[in-house]
Amino acid sequence: MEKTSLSATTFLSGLWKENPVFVFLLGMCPTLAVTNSVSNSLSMGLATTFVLVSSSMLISMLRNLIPPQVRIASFIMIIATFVTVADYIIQAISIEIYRSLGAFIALIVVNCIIMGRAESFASKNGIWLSGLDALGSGLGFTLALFCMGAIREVIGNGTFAGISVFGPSYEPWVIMILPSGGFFVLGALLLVVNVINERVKKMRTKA
Amino acid sequence: MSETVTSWKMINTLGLIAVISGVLIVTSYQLTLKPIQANKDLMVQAAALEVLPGSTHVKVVRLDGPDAGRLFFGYDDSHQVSGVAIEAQGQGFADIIKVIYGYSPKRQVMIGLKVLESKETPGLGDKIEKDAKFCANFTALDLSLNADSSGLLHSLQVTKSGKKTEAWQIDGITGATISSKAVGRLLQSNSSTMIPIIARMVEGYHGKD
Repeated sequence: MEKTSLSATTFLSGLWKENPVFVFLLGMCPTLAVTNSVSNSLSMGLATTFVLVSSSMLISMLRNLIPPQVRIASFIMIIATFVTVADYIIQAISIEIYRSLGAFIALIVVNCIIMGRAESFASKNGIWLSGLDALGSGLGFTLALFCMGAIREVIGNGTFAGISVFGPSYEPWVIMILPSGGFFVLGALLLVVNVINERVKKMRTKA
Repeated sequence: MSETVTSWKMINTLGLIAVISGVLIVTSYQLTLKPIQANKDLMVQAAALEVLPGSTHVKVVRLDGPDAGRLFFGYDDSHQVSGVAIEAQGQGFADIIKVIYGYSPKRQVMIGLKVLESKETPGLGDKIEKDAKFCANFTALDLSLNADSSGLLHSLQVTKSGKKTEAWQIDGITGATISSKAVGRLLQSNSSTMIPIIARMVEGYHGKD
């Protein structure tokens, strides 16, 4: 029973309580750069989740073999391997998605969420728990990217996943799909998340 | 002594991880090779139709010898050759830029261009795909042949933004000078070789009719 509760807590914490984007402000490069549409956001989120889960599980599997002196080199090699695999898989699924994500697929190697989870969790815990922790963080990252992408595409292009939302008379706010729009939306979302968290904390204190 | 053991352990661990990485990368490469190639072929054929306005379908013609490569002959509703799409590539600012351009043998002009692959700097070099003014260069760019059809009458040239005066000149992009010049250079080098070859092929094709 205790084990189930630990697994659930590990998985859920990455989704909201320790959300890599909304709470830790990690992975800002893809968060701001590729969230100009829903499909780009979801593709980047899922590709990162794949790399996160695979590398965390392999690092956890090899954790007792890797001496601390070479851990960073080992982690980076494992992460780079799965990024290369993800790169091939995305090309095999859709060249269009591959082109729209561009250089940011290769940049998953230096996404600090992955290195962060490897250092702080996978190198100290079992395979199953590390996989769950990585899945939680990966889906938390995907959720954050999806929120950003949905808001930016709806306001900046008048569409959601390519489907028109407001009709042809809508004049899109182009700034929202430009880099500065990324900063505006991220700032607004951080404000909302912090207000929600503060209110929940106050309600719990009163209770 | 213990230091030697630790050194070996470190080397062994890194070696083991390198082997695991190698196996994973090579396996995924082999498994995805065919679907990736199929996807790329589909994308290039769709791009060929895009750079050949008026074409309803394309046929791939493979070239042998020193000019080995492929051409995409576009046909209109009445099964007449409406244009030929040619793949070209050259060194850009960040990496190789791959493009496909459409050529009308009848009008002897370039009728369209699409960037297939580019890793140029986002916001600067990627204007070669996004800048409407730059893209407009390639809708009627002069590729006239000389008298004996052995080469181009005028070699393509890239000018500074807004300085284009001739039909064979390409208006460059301010802020993406290197990338726009790279596109001009790769088009100039490719067109000077390929356009005479295409002209001979089209002539032979009409001769057979």
